[in-house]
Amino acid sequence: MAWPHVTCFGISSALAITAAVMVVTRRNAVHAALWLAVALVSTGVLYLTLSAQFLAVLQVIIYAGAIVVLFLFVVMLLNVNEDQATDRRRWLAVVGLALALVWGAGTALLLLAGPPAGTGLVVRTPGDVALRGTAEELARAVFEHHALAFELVSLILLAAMAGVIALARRTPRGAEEIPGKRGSP
Amino acid sequence: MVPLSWYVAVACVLFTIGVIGVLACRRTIVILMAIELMLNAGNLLLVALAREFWSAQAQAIVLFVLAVAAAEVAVGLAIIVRMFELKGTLDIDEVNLMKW
Repeated sequence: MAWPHVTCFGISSALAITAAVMVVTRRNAVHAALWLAVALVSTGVLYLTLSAQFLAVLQVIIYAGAIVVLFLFVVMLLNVNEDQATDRRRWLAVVGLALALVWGAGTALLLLAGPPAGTGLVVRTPGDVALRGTAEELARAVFEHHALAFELVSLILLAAMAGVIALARRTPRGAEEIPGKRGSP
Repeated sequence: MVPLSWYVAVACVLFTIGVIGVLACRRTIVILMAIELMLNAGNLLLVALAREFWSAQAQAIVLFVLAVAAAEVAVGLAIIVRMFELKGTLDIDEVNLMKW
């Protein structure tokens, strides 16, 4: 094991896990969004150690650039920084935490046990070369094998755009008010 | 080269933190962020397996996941904005209009 790789892996994975914990524990939503950016960028560094250079760049541009900015926009648009929730349903959070920990323990056990014998995933074929993670390799994989999926993804993005525009429009006048709105007369 | 199992462990921990966020948090924005964390952990696992199996197609799947995550966040945040306009709160427990 080359030590620069291991050092890089250790630092960025520790950073990613710390930042992920911060995301779910911070009470201030802006701080949570910023920690999310840290987690996503350090995952990008992990991609670099896995020689996936193009994906690392995309990770920073799309996730840390576009998605985190979107989160920050919404948090600031709604202007509800602090957690206003009361503590009357604290037990629900405890149950959720317990369920998640059970889930995590189950996954860890499965991973430790490893795959059952005879189902080894051997998909390396002779003639393959090690990946360098360049845009060229990715483009070949996408357009030679997944061209239809690529087109469908563009449809998904179009549908999401249309849906967001439809959702974000103001309620028409005279529309029924949803019952239980806070602060309404 | 760092062995595959280390990456699997990191992805597992990240995913579990995401599950904790979804199950234990009540603010919808934080729940969306936790979903992003889970998608991110899945992506990390895919990239690690791509290196292990020398498969560029696994990396191509990550591309698709990125696009779908972007669409999901846009729609989810639009729903949150709408919810805040209608109910005046971000608490997921307050949004129980369709509960039995």
